[in-house]
Amino acid sequence: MQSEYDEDPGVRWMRAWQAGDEGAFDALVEAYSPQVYALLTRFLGQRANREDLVQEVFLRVVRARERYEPSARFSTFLFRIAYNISVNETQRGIAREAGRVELGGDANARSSRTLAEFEDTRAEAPGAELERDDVVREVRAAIARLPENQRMALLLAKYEELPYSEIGEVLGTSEKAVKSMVHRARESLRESLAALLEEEEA
Amino acid sequence: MKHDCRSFRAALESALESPREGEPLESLSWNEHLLGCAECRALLESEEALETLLESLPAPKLPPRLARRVLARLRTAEHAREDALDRLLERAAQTQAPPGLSRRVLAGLESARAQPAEGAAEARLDALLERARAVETPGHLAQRVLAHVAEERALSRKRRPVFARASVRFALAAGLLAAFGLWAIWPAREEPARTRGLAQLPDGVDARMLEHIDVLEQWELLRRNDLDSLLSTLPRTDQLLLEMGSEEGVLGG
Ligand SMILES: [Zn+2]
Repeated sequence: MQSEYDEDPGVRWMRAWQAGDEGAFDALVEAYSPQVYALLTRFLGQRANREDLVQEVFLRVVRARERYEPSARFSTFLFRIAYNISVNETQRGIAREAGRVELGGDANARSSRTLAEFEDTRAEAPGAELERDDVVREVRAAIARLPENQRMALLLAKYEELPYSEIGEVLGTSEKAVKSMVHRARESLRESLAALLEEEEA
Repeated sequence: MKHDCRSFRAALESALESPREGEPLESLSWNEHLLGCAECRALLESEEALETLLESLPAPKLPPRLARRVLARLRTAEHAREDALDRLLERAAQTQAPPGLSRRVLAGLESARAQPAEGAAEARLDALLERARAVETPGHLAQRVLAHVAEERALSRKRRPVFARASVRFALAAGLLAAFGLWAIWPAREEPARTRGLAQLPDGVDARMLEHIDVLEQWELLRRNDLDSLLSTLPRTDQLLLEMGSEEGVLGG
């Protein structure tokens, strides 16, 4: 069956794999796991189980082997799975924390933990100045506070350079809705990072 | 907002939308409108500064040999899934299944495993994949399935005083049997608050029914997208029984 996405390398590997070429799946994982990992890191912060989540994303691909039909670029399909898994992961985290609070835990535990996950920056930018680390940390924390759909829309537009129509496919919404999500995300960031932005402008 | 502001902001948004060609915001800074509008000037500066900040974030550091490790783990995961299924089938086979639902569920498990789903089941799986984000089995699935069976039974009795079709009677009998089993061991397993839906049920007969549904509850595939391929192997009446439970939350996403 032909489709307009047949030129997409991911779609071609998927087709080859469906046709019995087991190596094609390895090629898919080789080519796309870094992208998925990076997206999950930007979306969820430095949490420890990102590699598990990458595995989970590809496990879904394995299970979709027989019935996969390209209706978008392969990366769009993959990002959509990654987004759904991430949102679930966040909700599980919230449920866990809620349980902990009920058991007499610290009500602030969740927000401090979430922020801490966005903080491990020194390991990523060795040699960077301390001041720069603070900036990075603050920007990441501001991104982390965005609602999930706005956050993902912004990250996909900014770092994956996805057009709004494709972001719409990832998030299961319209291009117009994505436009407004990105708009609101930037508005919130400009507000919460106002002090930093002024320094940057100066 | 003045008309000029609106069109400037529209230009700004579309420049932000397609950031691939060079520095799109740069070209906007020559826009005539900015000469007379401090607000839009401030907005542009702030957007530019935000772009700089966002671009200055270091790229996430990838763990070494990520793809190789993911591949290796995927293979292990698939084997573990097979093993878990084998163990569950074995465990289920050791228990003597009462006639009815649980036996047919087991048959369904076997055949779901023996042959990959096709055709209609595929379409159902696709629909499910759309709906399911990460499918998780809720706690006490079995109890909730049975509670729904009980409710449905009460409703059916009101709606249809005469059961013309043997299959309907059979389904209700299976439901009743299941409900009996649940009732028999309910107090030991469940907090009182959850007994609401079962209050009208008579005393119990068969606790093994519950064990079979527990097998399902733990069954790895139930948490996954294969739920529908299992369901599609069962008679329609049994599908309904299980779906009542899954509507409750198994497929929530
Ligand atoms: Zn203006």
